[in-house]
Amino acid sequence: MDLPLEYFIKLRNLIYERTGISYEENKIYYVKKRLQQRMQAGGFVDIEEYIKYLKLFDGNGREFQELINLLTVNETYFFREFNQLQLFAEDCLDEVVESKKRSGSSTIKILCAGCSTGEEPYTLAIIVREMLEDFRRWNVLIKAIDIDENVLVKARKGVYDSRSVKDVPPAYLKRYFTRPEPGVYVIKPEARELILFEHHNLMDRRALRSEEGYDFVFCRNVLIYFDEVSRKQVVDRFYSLLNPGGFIFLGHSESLSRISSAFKIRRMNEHLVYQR
Amino acid sequence: MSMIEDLIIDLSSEDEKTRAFAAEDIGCDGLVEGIGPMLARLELEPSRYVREVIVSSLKMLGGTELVSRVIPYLRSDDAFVRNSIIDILALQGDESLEALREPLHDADKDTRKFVLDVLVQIGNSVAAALIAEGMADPDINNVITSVEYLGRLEDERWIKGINNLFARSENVLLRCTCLETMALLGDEESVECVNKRYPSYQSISFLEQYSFLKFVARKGSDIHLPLIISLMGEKGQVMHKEIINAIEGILKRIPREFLPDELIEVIDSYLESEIKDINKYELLVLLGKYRNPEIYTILLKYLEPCNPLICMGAVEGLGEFGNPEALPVIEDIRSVARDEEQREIIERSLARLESLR
Repeated sequence: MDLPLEYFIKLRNLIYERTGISYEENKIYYVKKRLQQRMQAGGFVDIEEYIKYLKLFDGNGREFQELINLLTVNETYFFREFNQLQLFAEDCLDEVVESKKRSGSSTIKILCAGCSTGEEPYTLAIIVREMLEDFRRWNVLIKAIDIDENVLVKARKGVYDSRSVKDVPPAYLKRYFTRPEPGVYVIKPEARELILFEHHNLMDRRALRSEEGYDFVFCRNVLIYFDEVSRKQVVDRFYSLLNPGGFIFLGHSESLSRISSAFKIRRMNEHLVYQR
Repeated sequence: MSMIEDLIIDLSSEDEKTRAFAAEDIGCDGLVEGIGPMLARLELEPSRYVREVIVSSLKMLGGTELVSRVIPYLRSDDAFVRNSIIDILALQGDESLEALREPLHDADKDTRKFVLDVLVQIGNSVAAALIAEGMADPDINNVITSVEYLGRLEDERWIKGINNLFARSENVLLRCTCLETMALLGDEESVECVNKRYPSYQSISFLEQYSFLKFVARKGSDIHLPLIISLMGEKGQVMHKEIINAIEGILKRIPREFLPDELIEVIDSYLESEIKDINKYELLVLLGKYRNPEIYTILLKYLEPCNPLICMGAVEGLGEFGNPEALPVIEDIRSVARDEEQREIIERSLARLESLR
């Protein structure tokens, strides 16, 4: 299948306008491969015709969503999107800690929305334990929520295979996991004790209203599954539960620019971050 | 006191969250009595967050009452309010269309422009017909906007009017917009109009060159190739994307086995210039589709693993070109390729070349 740059850019712009997900030009092959699958499934021969369909005739947005699902299918694993976690660990966390010290507070709260099988909240727990000096004097809570009860059961168990932990630095693997048998990794209480797994529907407006005082919200690669209006409502909810100066992290290719103007955008270490 | 009365009071609370939650409840519970108070609050509200929540809630309410109440706010001096109203009206779709007929002919040109902004977002054929009325707007900017939006909606019914505007307009910006819209919707008459207005390369003003290339990319033919080649020589480094698109467009529409020699020559020098890697990738893939023998040598030159994108283009091009002599060179590249996508392209090209051996 041909995907001339002109059409790649058109498609990329359409995806960005509707989801905030942006693809760099060097992702042309990645996009092309998945696009081909969707075009075959829908019986499209010509890319121009397919883009026209998405723009003008895909009334309920079903085909567009199928394409997005294909483009965003990602395994979840520990330390995923490492650069962003590094920014959190080395810059944002530090800034929040300094501000807490000034105000005499010793609580750090993190919301992990759409936590799936737990890799992300456990990763955050490991990072926080590693990065906070004098960790014991801090009261850290990571609330990990998901709409799917089944994934929460798995998350609470904290048992993973070698693929999930492939990016965990060896020292952390030793410190935070036990290996009851080859290829099986079980998270240790040191990381587990910081996390509270709860069943929540992000669309339930009243459920999150009692939540407040969060310093960080992680909601990576979740908003893409919501329509425009719902996405905005969810982001407004995150705003309301964050402390002033609190940070929100979306997936590395997601952006708030089309969703909310309430957050401040800051450049930190060559990355853009959103802050209340 | 009823629930809605409580919520309306809460909209003016001193507490930011209380105001936001009140607005959210009005929207989620479908309390249309809250539309007016929320709109009034929107203009006064100091918190960006609460404003965002109010807009979300208005979007949820929907219906004719919402449409009639929000239209006057298209004239708001506050850009946030105005843009939000445009989004709200657009989201109402057909419900908004009837109510927009009148403001489409408002005395204020800005209001007419905002109505066009709503219509393009609604995007159906009735909306397109209303946008087409904008081609007769007394304000030239609204005419330009209408032409642009008809192109965006790819509604071919209005091409005659656009051809006419292009043929008789002395406004360069309008002509540029017409060219770009004609690129999308144009017919035989559009091609004639363009060829008539630009009999030679020199007759295209600098401002129009980009739009002209966009038109040629979609509607051009071999007669435009010499012109593109002269543009490559003169403007190649600043207009490379448009030039490549124009070449690709013509070649795609008019299939052939061999490229004209002068085109290969300029593409070769283009590849050696400072254009972006992604454009080089594109040109290498394009070259692979043609049979001129010199293409093989050009593609081989770019099999440099140190630049994955260009290398991918060369490998893909060689696979397509189909000369099995490239097999050992590509196998060498395979041994050093680390990138998953690069490896996949290599395997595909190797498989194709093996099958031709």
